[in-house]
Amino acid sequence: MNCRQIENLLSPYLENDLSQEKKILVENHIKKCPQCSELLSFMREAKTSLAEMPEFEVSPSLRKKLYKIPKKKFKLSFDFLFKPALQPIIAAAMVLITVVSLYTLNPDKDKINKTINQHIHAGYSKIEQLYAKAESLTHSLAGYKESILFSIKNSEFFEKNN
Amino acid sequence: MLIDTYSKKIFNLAYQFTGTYETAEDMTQEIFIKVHESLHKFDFGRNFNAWILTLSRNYLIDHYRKTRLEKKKRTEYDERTIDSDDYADPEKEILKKNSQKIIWDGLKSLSPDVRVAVILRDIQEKKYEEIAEIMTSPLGTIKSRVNRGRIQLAKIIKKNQGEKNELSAN
Repeated sequence: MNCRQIENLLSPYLENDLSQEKKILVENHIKKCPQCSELLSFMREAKTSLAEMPEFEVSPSLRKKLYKIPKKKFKLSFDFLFKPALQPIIAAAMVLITVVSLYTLNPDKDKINKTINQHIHAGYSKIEQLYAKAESLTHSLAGYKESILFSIKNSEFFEKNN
Repeated sequence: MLIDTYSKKIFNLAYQFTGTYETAEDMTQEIFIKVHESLHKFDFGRNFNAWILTLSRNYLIDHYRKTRLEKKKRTEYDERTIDSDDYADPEKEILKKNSQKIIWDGLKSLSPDVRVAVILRDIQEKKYEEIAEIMTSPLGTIKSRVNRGRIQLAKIIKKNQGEKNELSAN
């Protein structure tokens, strides 16, 4: 094994995480190679120094600021109203609200109601008239039913096919 | 509850990563804002501790990439919490503090992913499996990053000793 390959095994060696076979390989290499031996000893020093680094307590001022975060950040937000996907719905709602408010707040509301009622009644009577016309047409057609069927059966087209 | 349990962990991770006390305090606040904003996304099948540290790690690395220039601004190593009574031998104590100062400063030369892996493994003494979960990387990648980080730090100690020897020879 060359030095580069041994370098990859130095951390597992320090942490006793190597198979017996690889451990012997590393130890044999280190005995012969002063560079790798030195590197291992500095790595050990680095590891020990890191393990002894102090851990700090959070300062009271920072703790105070951290406790303020939820209150500051969890206020009811209406940001979702500005999403592009909601804009057509919001526009339609605004138009509807405008029309409804124009109607409900109008001082001539009774006149509007009367006009609407008149239009509705006129519409109803037109529909009734159409319905009556349609009914009379059905009756008159029923009288001609037999003669129409007879003339269809005796037409050229049916005669040829028969 | 959330703040009591995790503020110390997050602050120390930020401090060890950035090397400056004020930046670490600002980052801790930013991370907590992110935590609050993302709580609804938390998958209850996941380890919460790993989730919150993944979020912190992502924030630290994103911030590092955005503000590359600041990475050189590591403040003096803070030795306030080292208890002098622990060391019977004053000479040994000085050597230890010197070594820690070199390592502390040397952390800035590690790439962000390698630095986080080294901090989590060697300072915070987490298991490789947990680090892999936090960093959302394969176990082998994490082991290789930690090894690379230790080698880089070892070379920094060696270089520093070489410079000291040269100075004392002169």
